[in-house]
Amino acid sequence: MKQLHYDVVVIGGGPAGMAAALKAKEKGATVAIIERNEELGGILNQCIHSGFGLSYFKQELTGPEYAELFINQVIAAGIDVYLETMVIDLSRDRQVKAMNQAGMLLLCAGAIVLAMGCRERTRGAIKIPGSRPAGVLTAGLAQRYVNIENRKPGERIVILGSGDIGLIMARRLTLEGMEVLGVYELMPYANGLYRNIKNCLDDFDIPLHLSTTVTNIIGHPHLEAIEVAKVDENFKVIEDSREVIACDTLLLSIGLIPENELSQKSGVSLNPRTNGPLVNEALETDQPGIFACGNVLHVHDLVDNVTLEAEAAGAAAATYALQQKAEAVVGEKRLAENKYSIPLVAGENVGYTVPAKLTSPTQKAGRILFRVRKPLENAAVIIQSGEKILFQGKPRAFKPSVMEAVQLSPDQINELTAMCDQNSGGQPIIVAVQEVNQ
Amino acid sequence: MSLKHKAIEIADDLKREDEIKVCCTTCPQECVITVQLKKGIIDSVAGEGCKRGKKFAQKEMTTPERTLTSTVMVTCGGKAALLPVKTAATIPKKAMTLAMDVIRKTKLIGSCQMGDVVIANICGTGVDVVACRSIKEENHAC
Repeated sequence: MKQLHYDVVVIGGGPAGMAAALKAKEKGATVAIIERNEELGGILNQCIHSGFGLSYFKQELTGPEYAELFINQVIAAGIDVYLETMVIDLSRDRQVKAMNQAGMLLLCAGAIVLAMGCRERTRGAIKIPGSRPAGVLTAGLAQRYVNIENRKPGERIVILGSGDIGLIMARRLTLEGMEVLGVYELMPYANGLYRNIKNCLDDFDIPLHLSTTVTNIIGHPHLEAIEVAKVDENFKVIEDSREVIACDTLLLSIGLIPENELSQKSGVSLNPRTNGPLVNEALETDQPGIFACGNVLHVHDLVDNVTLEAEAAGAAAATYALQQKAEAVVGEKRLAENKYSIPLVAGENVGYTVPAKLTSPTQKAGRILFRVRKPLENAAVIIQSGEKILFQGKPRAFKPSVMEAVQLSPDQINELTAMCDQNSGGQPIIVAVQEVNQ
Repeated sequence: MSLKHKAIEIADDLKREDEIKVCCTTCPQECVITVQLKKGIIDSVAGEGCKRGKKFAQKEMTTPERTLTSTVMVTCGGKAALLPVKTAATIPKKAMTLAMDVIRKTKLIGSCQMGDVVIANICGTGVDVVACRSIKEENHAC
């Protein structure tokens, strides 16, 4: 087997992988990106709509443009890119087994960045009853068919789920001359970004049916109709609201799951809520030297946020690898430092937090990302450790479609170390969003 | 802020309304902007987070504009692929269907660079349709 050595090996060449690799290279590390597709860019290549880069590049770009700006940098930086290469195993000691047309590769890395992204939830995940005909597919697959492969998924389309990809596809299919009958959402609110509801549905008079879901799939071998029904506040079907809609295509836009089968092979622990690795503030997993960023860590709202997170992961991975290498040369082992790990806990109305723990003492500010579980009209972020309030935000509206970020200063985190000493084992930091009465 | 003296002519289908809420899509902040109308004329705009928001809300009331994105067939190095394209600036919402007809009929041959003009001045809007990625002879797009 061909054996190669790199300071940092990045698995996945989408927006997260490219940003992490560039940052690691900038820090002086030798870097490789492994990508299973035949080109870099990941899912951005099929996201031909605009709205990317508004915060990172301060201009509105399409997915392919955002990707190309990074691809050009990756090429210019002299990062080794392995295309059409599939990683099949990742070990705890950071050995990556990969395969491509030339054969097997073994890449030995000082540090690993996991950047494999996520995949779509399918029909099986929500167990829709009925037959199993052709014509039921995920919104992202339909996006690939239409935008890359030049195939038409059908004529009369129904979309289940109000995730962003579903909304984007409602507009895209309408513009390409297909009839989008409606978008059905189980929850009493839309899951996608408001800009997409407006620009993709309202602009084309496509109805959005809230608290409504698909209850049956009819037809064989091809989809002929679906049955929809309204649900009550406990998500129980309201019987007399059942309605059959003739259609030949059902698109599913019902959520994304981080793709972590590979991560688990290396022993990385996952957060059962997000299905992404449990990381500290440096985005390092519980396996030393293995870092994670982008949608493999948690599903993001905007690619700009993926890029920022990936840059941090890439920098941390390079620092780790170069430090290890320097210590190996001098013949010293890294001293077991007197560090504490303070767990972060998702409190009231909060689904999860990234990171899942903070290391203390630290010189770096801790950036905490989270999402609310449901829309809140007037609420405030409150972060506390025991009785001590570390952060209190101003009251405002919150939406589950938007990722929230709060920064804790090194001083605030280090103050908690004192508590750790006394209690041996730190109190968790609770991140909550509490409703405020007007 | 009062705009009475400007008396901007608003779109016909909105004239009967008293108050319209517009979600600004200029940036990810998604400010909800409230536009008060009096007798079919914009009376006031409130709730915008920046200057761009106010401009956006006024535009939405008069001639809403959008960036249109689609794909164009390109044959390069003996392989056919779809080239993603966009309008280089926003075009009137009304012009989108016509623009799509033109884009759908367009076919290209050979390599191109990101930003190359694919269709100049689409439907007389004064806006070009440009390539959103480069396509090289040796590496095909799909």
